Amino acid sequence: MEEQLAQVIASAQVTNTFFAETYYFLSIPLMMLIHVGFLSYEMGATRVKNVLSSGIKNLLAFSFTIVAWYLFGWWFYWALPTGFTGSEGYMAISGIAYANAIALPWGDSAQYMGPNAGDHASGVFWGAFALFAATTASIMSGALIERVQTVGFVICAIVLGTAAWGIAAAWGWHADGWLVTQWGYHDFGAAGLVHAVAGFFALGVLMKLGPRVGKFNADGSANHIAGHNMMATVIGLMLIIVGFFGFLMACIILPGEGWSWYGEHATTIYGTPMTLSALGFNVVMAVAGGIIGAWIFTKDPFWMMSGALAGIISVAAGLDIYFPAHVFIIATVAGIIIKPCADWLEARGIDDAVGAVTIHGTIGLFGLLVLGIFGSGYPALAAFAPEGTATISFLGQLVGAVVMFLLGFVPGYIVATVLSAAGMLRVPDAVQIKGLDPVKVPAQAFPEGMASPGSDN
Amino acid sequence: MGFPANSWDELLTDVGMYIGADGGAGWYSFIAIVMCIVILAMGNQSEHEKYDKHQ
Repeated sequence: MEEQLAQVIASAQVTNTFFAETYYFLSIPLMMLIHVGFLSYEMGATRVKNVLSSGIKNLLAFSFTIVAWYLFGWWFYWALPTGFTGSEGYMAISGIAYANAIALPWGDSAQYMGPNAGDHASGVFWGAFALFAATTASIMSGALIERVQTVGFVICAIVLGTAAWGIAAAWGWHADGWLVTQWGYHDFGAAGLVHAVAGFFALGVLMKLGPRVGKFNADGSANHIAGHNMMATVIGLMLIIVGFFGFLMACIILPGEGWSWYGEHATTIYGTPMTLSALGFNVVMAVAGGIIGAWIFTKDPFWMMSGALAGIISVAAGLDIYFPAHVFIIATVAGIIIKPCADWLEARGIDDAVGAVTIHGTIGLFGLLVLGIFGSGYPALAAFAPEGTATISFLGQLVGAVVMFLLGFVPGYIVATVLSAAGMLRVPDAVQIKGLDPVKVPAQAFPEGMASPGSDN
Repeated sequence: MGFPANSWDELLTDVGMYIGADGGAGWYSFIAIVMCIVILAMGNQSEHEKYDKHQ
């Protein structure tokens, strides 16, 4: 009897392990849909003469960020939670020594960075985090379209997706992260550490990159530069939202494995309670709220779908805490404020072609602060946390918001300054006027009769 | 290079099965890094040649 019972338990463990491996594995192709969406969205928001160049930029940002994440980014995440000293944290799953042991693709740690029949976790976790990194890098992409050089942009994407996001995640999305343990920073769905970091990195680059030729008049007033295909843009935005479900499901830590926080309960990455059902309620309510909020003033499908994104981002930090009606209220407010915020930025001479700084940056910070108001007093870490660990508070979220702003803006501005000095940032004005595709892409986006202006084909 | 495990049991429990598991992983990673840098440098050169033609 005992032997049979042991067999049943062992069999159940095998099932649980393969379920967990499959769960995270399937989050990866779902997150790929975010990139399908970005591709469609940005190519649609581009004029005919620049469509293929926009697509090339997206594909390369994804590819190089993934490789850089494999080689360096994963190490940043495990090495730096307690700060740049790289010391080990309370949970003993952080620090340079720990990262050297599990996250370098050379030496002994390489056994966790490739096929290993005894390891059902490292690859799927790495894959999910790699898609988080690529998503962070791609958020910046749309803001820069039609005048950023390809290789210069790829370098920006590598720095953002690998270093800026890797450090932000280490500090704010890790049980040993100093923002979590010392300030009670809480960001379940990465409103700050993905969206705000990416949005303000984009702002730092935009300030050096400058506007598209023809965006602003001599008196400083702005012209609207319409993309060539609103349908592709709006459908792309919807696909990004589909992909968000994969992103957010991968933010849950399943139970019953050696790496789980608990044997029977799913949790957030902080070890606090979380279920897929909570996401079922809250994510769709956020989408609805964001669309409705944006519709009130804009009546424009581009801004309505951007409102859906903003809706999710505005509540992402507290999806594990909010009640669905609460989510709807916050997301509706986010949808309402995106257009005025984007207009405010444009009035200051910033040409953010798709509103990425506002939708991801501003709303990401808005979401962090709103959670600081409504979630104040909730635990930031699970019961295993050391005594004296901070709880969620407005001050903690404010500190986190400032850190996320700086982790995005400062490296973005510095990298853009260096690239600009090297002549690798801005496409020359003459090329912008002719079109990027006819100058540097040996292919045609559309059939005869729809030739790109200036094309030699 | 070569098959890194001494037995099936060892292979199925705790041994990395990838090519290079016996010490070559670092070289493959190094080559990958060099490839990325060279490809970006070549891409940048090609891009600027095209821009120069249209200035």
